[in-house]
Amino acid sequence: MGVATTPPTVGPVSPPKRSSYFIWEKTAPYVFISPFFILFGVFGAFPIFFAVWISFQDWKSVRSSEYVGFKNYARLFTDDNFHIALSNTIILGILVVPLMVIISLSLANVLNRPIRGRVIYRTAYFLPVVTSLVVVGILFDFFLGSVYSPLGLVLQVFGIEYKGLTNQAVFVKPAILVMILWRWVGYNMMIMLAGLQSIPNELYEAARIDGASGMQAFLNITVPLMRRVIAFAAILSTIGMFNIFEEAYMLVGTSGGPDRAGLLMGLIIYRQAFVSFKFGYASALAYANAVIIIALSFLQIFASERAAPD
Amino acid sequence: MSQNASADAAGHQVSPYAPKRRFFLGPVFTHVCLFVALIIFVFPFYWMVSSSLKPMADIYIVPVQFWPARPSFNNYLEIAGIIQSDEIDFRGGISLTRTFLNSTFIAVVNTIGTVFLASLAGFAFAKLRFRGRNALFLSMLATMMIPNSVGLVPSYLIMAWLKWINTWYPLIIPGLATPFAVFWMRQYMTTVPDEMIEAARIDGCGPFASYWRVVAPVVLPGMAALAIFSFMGHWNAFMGPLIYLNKPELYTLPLFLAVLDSGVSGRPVPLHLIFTASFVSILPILLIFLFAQRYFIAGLTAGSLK
Repeated sequence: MGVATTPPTVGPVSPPKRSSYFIWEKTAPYVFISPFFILFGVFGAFPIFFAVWISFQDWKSVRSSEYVGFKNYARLFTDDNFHIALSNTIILGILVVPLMVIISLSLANVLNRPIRGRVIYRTAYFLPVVTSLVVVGILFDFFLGSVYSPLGLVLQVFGIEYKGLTNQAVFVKPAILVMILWRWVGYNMMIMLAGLQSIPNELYEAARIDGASGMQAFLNITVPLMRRVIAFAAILSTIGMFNIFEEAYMLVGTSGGPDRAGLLMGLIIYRQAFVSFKFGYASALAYANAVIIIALSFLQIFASERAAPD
Repeated sequence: MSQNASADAAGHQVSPYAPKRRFFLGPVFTHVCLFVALIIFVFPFYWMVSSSLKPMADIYIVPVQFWPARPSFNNYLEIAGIIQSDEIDFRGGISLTRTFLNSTFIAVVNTIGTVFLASLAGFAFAKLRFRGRNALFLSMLATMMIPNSVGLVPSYLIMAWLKWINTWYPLIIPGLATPFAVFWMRQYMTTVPDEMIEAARIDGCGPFASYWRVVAPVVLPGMAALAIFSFMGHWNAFMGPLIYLNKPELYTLPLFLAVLDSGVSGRPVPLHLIFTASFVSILPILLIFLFAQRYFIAGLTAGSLK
């Protein structure tokens, strides 16, 4: 390192060491990442740890709080809003995830072929994905909730009088299910399409020569080779189910609609935090939610790896 | 499949696509299904546009009108504040024009900031060597597993302490530091060969010059995808504005829509204006999507590459 006795080096021109240039080369990486990391530290990483502390406090206002130990976590076991929201979220998740995977994989499988008009279909199915969630919520609130929805006209043909669906407890979950599928099928289809394009065509050709039917090829080639992509889509849908807020807020409000049938995890966290201003309990709920999400994600990864045909 | 077999038997040439015909549904059935799905996905958009051309009275009638009987652009003029509107006056007197500009400002500032900060940090992580590089990068990735709802309350408290409630700072500043953006730019930049940077260094380029003059131009497509992704996220963001804003003049488009959708006692919900405003609010994103589909899909489905 720049010892006086070192003979001058011959060869490619290198910047003189110990100069300001050298110092700049050493410090530049830190200078480059610091604008991002300072903001990320304050508004991204710190809140995650701060939330733990908040969840052990009882908050009187944004400035005053007192330590209450595990009281907020204990409340999770007695709060029936939490139990209803959790079971609603799980029930909907059990319905959404398989339907999402089946519909999006089927559409992707069909549109992966050189079928007439496939660009039009692909674009149309993707349109809901670029639509804001608030607009999605407004649209479904109207279509499935309003008496003036065109759905009434369709049902009239079958002699059914239409009085709106989202105002009846039995129809709230199906309404949310349809809304989620409508919004996200196109997105999952694109993920599936990307996966399908990586499967070599020779495999299908070989299967055809061996006399496999289309269905057999689908079940024995496509599904196993798409295992990871399917798991990825399933995990995203599961996580999405526990984080859903905007659409549900517009559809059923923070109360969760009739009989709280549409009360979901995202809604109760928001309601505890910004309607009831129970900051401590809201943070405990958010952490419970995070633990469930992370556990389910690992479970799904584990399951998809175990299903590997070796 | 049986069709291919009979085509072979008849001695006709099998189409080069034949091996791909592996799905188990008949072609006609397939097209019927695809078309029905198309109607389901597109119909709500049709309804939104057709309702935006109807006067309020024509929306609140049964049986409903599939085609506007008296089409006019009055709703657009009313929502833009060009003609006087009771519905808007009852809700703070702020028109769509103002909220549209608010949303544009917030989304543009965020997009430019995110792309610059994330590409700079991504460059350091991809192409520069420094102590703690991997540890910092991995810990940043680890925080991506934590759902946003965990940060909801702490962020609110921080914003309250900073006296940032009822300002746009909570909608702009935290959004500049998205771990996904850095991850995305780093992945793009690792594909740039080291030799290019080495050559630039020999030519006298410092670290910033090699970022700005060498790597950034090469990863422009990645930046474009990130920009689109980030713009869409901030344009559509709802929870932040809902929590932090309650002055009508600060409203963003999604919040404006939600406020329009909330009832004023004794009056019907102004569905004609809601459909109009909804359509105007999705139009910019729709246009970006139709003209830059490639970048759009690349950005949105990026997670699946991991």
